[in-house]
Amino acid sequence: MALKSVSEELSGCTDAALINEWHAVAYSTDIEKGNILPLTLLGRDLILWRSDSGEVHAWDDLCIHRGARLSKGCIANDTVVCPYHGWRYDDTGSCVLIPAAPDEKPMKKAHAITHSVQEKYGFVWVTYGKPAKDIPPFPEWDDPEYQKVHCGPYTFRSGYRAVENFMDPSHFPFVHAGVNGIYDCPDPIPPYDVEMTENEGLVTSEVRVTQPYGDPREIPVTAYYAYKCLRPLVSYFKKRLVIQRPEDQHLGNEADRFCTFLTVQMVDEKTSIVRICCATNFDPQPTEAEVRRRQDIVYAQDSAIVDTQRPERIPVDLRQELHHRSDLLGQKYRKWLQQLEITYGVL
Amino acid sequence: MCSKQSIYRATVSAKVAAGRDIVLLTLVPEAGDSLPVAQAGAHIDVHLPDGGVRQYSLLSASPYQIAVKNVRDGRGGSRWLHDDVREGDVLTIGTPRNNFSLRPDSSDVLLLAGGIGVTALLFMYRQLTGQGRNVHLHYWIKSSADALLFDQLVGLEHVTLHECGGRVVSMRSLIAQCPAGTDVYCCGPTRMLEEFASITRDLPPEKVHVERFAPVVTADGVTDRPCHLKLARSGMEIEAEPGQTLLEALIAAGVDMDYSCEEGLCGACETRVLAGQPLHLDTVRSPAEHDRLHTIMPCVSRSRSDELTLDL
Ligand code: FES
Ligand code: FES
Ligand SMILES: [Fe+2]
Repeated sequence: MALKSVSEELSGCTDAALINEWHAVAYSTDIEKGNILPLTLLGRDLILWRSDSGEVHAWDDLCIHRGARLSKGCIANDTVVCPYHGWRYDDTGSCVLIPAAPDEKPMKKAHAITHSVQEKYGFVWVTYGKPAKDIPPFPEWDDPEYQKVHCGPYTFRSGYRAVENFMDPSHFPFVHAGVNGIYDCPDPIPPYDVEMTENEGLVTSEVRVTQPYGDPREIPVTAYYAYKCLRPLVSYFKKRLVIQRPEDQHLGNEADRFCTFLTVQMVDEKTSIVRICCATNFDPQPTEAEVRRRQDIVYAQDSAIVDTQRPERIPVDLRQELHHRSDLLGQKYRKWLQQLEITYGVL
Repeated sequence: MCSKQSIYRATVSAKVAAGRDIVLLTLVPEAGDSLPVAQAGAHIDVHLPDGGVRQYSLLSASPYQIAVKNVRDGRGGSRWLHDDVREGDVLTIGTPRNNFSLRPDSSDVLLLAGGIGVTALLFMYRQLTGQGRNVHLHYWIKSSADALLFDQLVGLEHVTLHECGGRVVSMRSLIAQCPAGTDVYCCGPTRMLEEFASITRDLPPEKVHVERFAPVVTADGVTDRPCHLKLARSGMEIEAEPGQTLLEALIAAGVDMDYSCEEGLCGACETRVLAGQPLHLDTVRSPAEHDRLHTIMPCVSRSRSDELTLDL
């Protein structure tokens, strides 16, 4: 008789390309010692907790004993205590106490289902498998010239459509009228190049757009976006800004850059959480509140439209929707998902 | 004020005869407006009253000038411009587009014109001579009366007028004689372009430039020249018949292709070319860029060689 294991039953996505990838599932600041954070990644329920050592741990939200949710338990003495029969797991995942038999050493198999975790760029990254590539580069993170501001979380349905939207400047005048573009005067998108690279995924040349309120300074700028779609669910742009009005010139300078590093946690095939980190080297720097206020506006505008896109599972076969040359990056993105043989959340 | 609109209104400031059945229209912006900057080789869309659109090459950019040959049995655009449009009328036109631009770094330039196709080449000729560059314009005409601006062209330095009764002769020997590395530009009637394509088949593609409005492609977007496709990966060999796009032929043969727009506008059908010389008819990339990257958009593009080997 074929036996379906518990972990198969609860595993959610099984695409190798997504399993063997790092996924940002929280901001580092979300996880305080003494608390358990429940979450769902790729259809599988997890807990995150921080042990006294400072390390973050990601386990299945499941007690191996009778399948109760560890997220309903608590932390005591640097162990996770299951709410049902009180089994306690230490920070390696090993059960160290079965209260019903306090003097016995728990069996070796009494172990939480653990996953690898890294904290990087202020995010907590989890993988279910063995990623061939490390978390992708975010050069401004280590550059002290850049102020970093985390924004979000923003909820979207399709994570892929959220990524594609992030890399699509032709929607600016319509979805972000008066902010990232001008409704009555949309920018034509001149041809740009997209190249597939080994570690940085899809890399574009600069795309020029006009932005009446292009950054936290709230002044008209000409912006040049250079995108990198680093991983299927991690994307990035570096924006070069040229201040348009002579009287605003003193508010910035030629070296000004606005970068965004965007991560998507696919909760399930139709639910995603976007978290971003903005990096600016302006002088003077905007306040964190100014950066966040603008991002909150822009991402709310984006999700309001992206969540209407149908089907929610993105069609990766280019024949299924109509593309234009200006969508080249989106096309290459879909093609990439297809080549990675991703089936989860795609059509 | 929006400066990036794609439709402009332009006043016809002058309309003069410039050859038998040829008028020269000078277009200036409506008061208070301006027209975008255009380069030699560019063409503009002219919108007709019936909703149709025709393309005309620019003869000069400031002000815009277009030369219109009255095609009596054409689709009516040239007849309207000849018969109905008057000085002072306002035309709706599009942003200049350029599929036929001059390569900035060419050393020697050979311009080959037939019929009204001379318009763009004359613009190039004036620009290049103005820059002191090495250029020669050959213009094949039926008779002096049929030439555009015959009086201005006759006797000009580095211009040869071939009165040939309509047959383009000596093109092959002219191309054969020009120094290696010469950039060759050609615009003229379909027959001339076809002959040009066969003559220049073995030249480096980045040196060969053709302006086509719709010459090889028939009205319904397909061509009448067959093409033999070799698919390197699958080993298949496929004939693209007249009346069939390369993409259609590939799909009909069961090849699993990416595509979306089927009009050469999106880039989805991009395919690598391993051998042969494509004739690029899409607007996704310039022909030179395609040749550098060895790519073709098989939904609209064809072949200059009888055979193409594709990375499929
Ligand atoms: S305009 Fe692009 S999805 Fe509607
Ligand atoms: S299908 Fe769009 S360019 Fe060929
Ligand atoms: Fe957006």
